[in-house]
Amino acid sequence: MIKDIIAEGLASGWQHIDGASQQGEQELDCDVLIVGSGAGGGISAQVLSQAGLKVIVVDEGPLKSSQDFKLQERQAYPDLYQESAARKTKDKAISIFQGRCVGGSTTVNWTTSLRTPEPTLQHWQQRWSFRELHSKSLAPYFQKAEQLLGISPWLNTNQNNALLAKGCEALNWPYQAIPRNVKQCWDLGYCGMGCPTNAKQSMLVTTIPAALNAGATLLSRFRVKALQFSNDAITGAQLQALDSKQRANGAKVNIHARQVVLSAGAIGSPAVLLRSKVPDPYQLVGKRTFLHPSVMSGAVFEQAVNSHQGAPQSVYSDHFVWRDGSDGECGYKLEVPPVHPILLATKISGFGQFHSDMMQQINHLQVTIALLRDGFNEQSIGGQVQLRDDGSPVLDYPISDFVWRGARRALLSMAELQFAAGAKQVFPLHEQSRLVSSWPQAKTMIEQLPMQALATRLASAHVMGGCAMGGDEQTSLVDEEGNYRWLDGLSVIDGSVFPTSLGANPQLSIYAMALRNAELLAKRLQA
Amino acid sequence: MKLSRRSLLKYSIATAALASGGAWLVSPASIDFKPMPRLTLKPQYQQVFWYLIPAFLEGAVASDDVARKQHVLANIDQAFSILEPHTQAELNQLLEILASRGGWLLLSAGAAQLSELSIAQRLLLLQQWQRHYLQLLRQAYQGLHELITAAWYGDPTAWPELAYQLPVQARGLVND
Repeated sequence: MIKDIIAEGLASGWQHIDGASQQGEQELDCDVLIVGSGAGGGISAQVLSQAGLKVIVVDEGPLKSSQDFKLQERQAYPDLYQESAARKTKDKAISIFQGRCVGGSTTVNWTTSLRTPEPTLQHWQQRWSFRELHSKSLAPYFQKAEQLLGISPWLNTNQNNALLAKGCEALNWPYQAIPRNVKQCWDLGYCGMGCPTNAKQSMLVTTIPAALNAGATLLSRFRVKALQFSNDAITGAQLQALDSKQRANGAKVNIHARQVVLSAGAIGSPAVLLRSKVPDPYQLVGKRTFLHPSVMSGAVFEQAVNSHQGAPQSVYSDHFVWRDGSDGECGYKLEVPPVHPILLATKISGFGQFHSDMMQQINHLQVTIALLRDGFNEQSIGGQVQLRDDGSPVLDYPISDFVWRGARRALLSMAELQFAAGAKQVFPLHEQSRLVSSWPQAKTMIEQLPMQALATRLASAHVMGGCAMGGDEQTSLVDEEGNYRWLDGLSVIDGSVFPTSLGANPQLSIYAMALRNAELLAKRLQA
Repeated sequence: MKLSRRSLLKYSIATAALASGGAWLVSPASIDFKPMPRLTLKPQYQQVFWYLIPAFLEGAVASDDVARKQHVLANIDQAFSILEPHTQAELNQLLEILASRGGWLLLSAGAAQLSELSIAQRLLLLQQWQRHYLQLLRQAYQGLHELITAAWYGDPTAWPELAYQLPVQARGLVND
């Protein structure tokens, strides 16, 4: 029997208000309102509440616990993901996977926990005038986060990951083991649907319970309609309660706070700022929002691969990430995703008999993804968060020729890798692709595929930027402590502050920066 | 001529208004489709899916397998009901076009009624949408692809044929 941390906490007196059961209008007061409970919000909640501050954490998603996680995509996607895992960029060319639940994306991610790459930090210093944040100053925070969340390399690779390693070895491409944030992991392979054993050290089972134990209040299923401010200083926020289908149910809460920490992620945080019409003299809110647009390649193996079983990600290769320098041609990181039925069925291109034949091969498929590193070159400026008429956010992300060139090279590398690992056939995920049986065939085909939106299949589980941090007020919205430049009492602590994409999976970068900036904020508020 | 989404919708809706609306899809040949009660989707939208399901899912859901098609349609309806309002609105627009005579003629390049197309003809049409030069048609194709394939393969009913199963060691955890 797995201990239900959430049920026990609620029984012990945690303060929690579920928007779905809320009626009418009420007023609440706190020192700090934290918007979002993912990597940035969760860490901030623990640090600030344990510092003795009165904290309210609000999340637009529901509060779920381990016993709600049934390993089924059809339940997990609507319950735990933004837009039922069907979020897309404005032109619908890139699928975006983001969590929408207490714990945010950390509740549903695949546990990969990598430090911010050194070339990224150097680029931020050189191009974005970072002075305080560098690998040396961040090292203690990385160590602390790794200790807090059980992060260490995972050495038990499933076949999906092992074949990535095998291909790299055959081609003499370097690869590494992936550190994961788990304790006593059962190695089930269903991290993307919520961890039913509480092994994943997500914010749901670590920092949020710690904050609630320290007296914080959690509001789930509440959306921030707008921040409130007066005389260039934050005064609070207006919240709308949401029903069980995430629709506004008419109930409202007004929160009075002397400080707001915005941790709603790289689409959510800019959206709150845009809806609130905050001062933004250089019109930067929502600009330079980045994905790691990812191209995908399927490979059929003679032997069973069973890519749905075992740790989803335990091996990666950075061979192509920095090869042309940080601001050179678009680099890409090679990883594998877990292969579950909805994920495969919706991402594999084609239809009819071909599609059902590919689905029949699910247990023999190895899938590799290449995460394109965007934002380091002047030709790659990412996307822009905009608001629809109803106030909901959408990411406009035109794909530059620079990124498309990287996408083609990445498809070539993945096919070469998969054949080197012994694949019988390879299928680059593209609407005009076909199964090919050799690396020369794959090379000829991929070189001719049109690199075009809604032809090349693209997805991303990483969203960064939109509230850029930096040393120059004309190009950055927040300083290196996360303070919003144009409103007192507003901090941004999440992945939206990254001025480029990372070139690595973002959760540990957010944890480390959040630990630093939340601790600095706690000191300021206690002073 | 580049046809923008807005002008396509406008044109389609206007053409549909001149024609006989959604009812035209119910041809005399269409005897195997009966709208399922209690679904959120309008009958004419159900009908669009009814004829596209066996095309997208050929090899998994046969044209004459009424029970399985009904199962997928009910799953689509369930998925549709929980989509974000803006996504629902977009899909409604698309289904309205597909279910209307003018819209269908435009998007199918003059093909016969959906209910009268053979499976081979429906597959050809999907291929045209999949690779169409108009981004709007590729968007429509991918939206339908996602909804229909998820509705079937997300259902445990589909899993035995794939030999996909939940981990044995988790069985005690996930039983309600």
